[in-house]
Amino acid sequence: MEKLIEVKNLTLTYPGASEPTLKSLNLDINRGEIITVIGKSGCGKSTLLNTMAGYIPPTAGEVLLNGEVITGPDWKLGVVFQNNALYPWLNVADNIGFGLKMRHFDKAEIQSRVDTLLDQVQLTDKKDDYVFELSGGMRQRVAIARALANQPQVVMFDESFGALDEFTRNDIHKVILDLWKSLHLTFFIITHDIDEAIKLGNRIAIMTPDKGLPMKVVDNPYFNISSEDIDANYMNYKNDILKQII
Amino acid sequence: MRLRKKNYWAITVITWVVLLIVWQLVTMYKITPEILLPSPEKVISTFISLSKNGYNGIPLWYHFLITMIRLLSAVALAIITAIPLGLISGRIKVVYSIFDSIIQFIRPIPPLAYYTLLILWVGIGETSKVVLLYLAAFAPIYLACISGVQKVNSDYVKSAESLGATSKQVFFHVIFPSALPDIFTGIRTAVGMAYTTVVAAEMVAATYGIGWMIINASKYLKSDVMFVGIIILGITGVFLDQLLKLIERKIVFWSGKS
Repeated sequence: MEKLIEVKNLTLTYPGASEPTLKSLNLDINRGEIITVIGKSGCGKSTLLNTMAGYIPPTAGEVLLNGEVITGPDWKLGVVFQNNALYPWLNVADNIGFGLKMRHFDKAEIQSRVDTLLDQVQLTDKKDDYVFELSGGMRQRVAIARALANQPQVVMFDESFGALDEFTRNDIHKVILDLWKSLHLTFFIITHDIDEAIKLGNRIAIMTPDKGLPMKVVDNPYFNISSEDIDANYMNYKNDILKQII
Repeated sequence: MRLRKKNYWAITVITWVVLLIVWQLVTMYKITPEILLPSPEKVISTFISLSKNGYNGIPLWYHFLITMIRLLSAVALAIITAIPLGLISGRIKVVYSIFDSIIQFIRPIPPLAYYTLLILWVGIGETSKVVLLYLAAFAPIYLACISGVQKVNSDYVKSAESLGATSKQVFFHVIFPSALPDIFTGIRTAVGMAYTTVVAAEMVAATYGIGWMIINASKYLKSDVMFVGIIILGITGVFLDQLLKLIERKIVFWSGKS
């Protein structure tokens, strides 16, 4: 497998904090995989994403994308936020095309990519609506489309589905998996929901509350499991993960 | 207790009708002398007379127009200068450190305290009046811009950076629209501040303007003329505020909905 992102001995201590939030973390993300990161609140999941996305410079260590050190935010590193961070003054199509416009793509190319993405996230009929007119699930689909418009090398999700109800979350999971299959994308998904981590991740990275322990990455035999296939073995696997994060 | 919107309007209208009736009764039964409180009929007849004959040889509409030009040009100048400075101050600490303390120092000083100095510095003509109103209008817009920038959702900025926006693009495409609701609140406050200063601005070395008309009428105890001037300023103030609210609803259509 080709390594896309390498997290090497990543340490981050916030100014004024006595303890590091991240301590000597190592993680490889392969091109074309979905890796989910699970951990308790406050264990540093979002800090890890913020550092990998280039928002926070690490105290020590480095994050490499295709062998190059990430020094700041970059269009190659797409991010979908928990509160979607869509711009309420723009309509759906303009939100999706925002990054392309900033990067000076011509109008025809922007429109073509936006139309394709609208079709993929099934929001073609909402293209002229403003984001405040959409439901929570639709907003997250727009946020995903916006992150994908730039054709980034990886898309990172920061607990992006936490605020959605179960039905909407299942719809979004389907959208994510369909996009992954059809576009051969690399996803890095932070979540605090173990079932979500198991359903979406080819591999699962487990962040323990003990900062001294290395992050454990396990293969996931239950990737894309449907609710009908949940059995005792699944529950044992889930409990194993749960024991490691508490 | 929740009422329908129409009922709230009815309460407002009834309040004004009651006020008018009380005014009428107080003057009809001569509870206060007419020189202190002229009757509604007297104020209306004075308004008609002023509309026909003007005040001090100058048409009433001209007094009104001059006041509006002074007010609106000062507010326009404040908008042009305070918005960029406020937005930059909210974003760049060094700029904030330079300007904020100066503006905070000037802001609470009553305009009349420095009006004479302004006249000495920029002359007795229109400039000193416009500058006085400008100083009154500047701080609310400047402070609203800083507040607007500081309140920008940090995920909006991070998201734009991850989508490939440069710092300049983030400023114009994310920070400015994000701060617009606060900017409009600042402009509405600024119009109010300039409005309350307009009489002061027309107190010294003026020969026309609604503010001047009120001051001049007060010297001769023409309370009916003072009432006409006050009512014109009051109605115009409400009209301007409603107009700004309308523009705000059109431009900042997402405010309160996201």
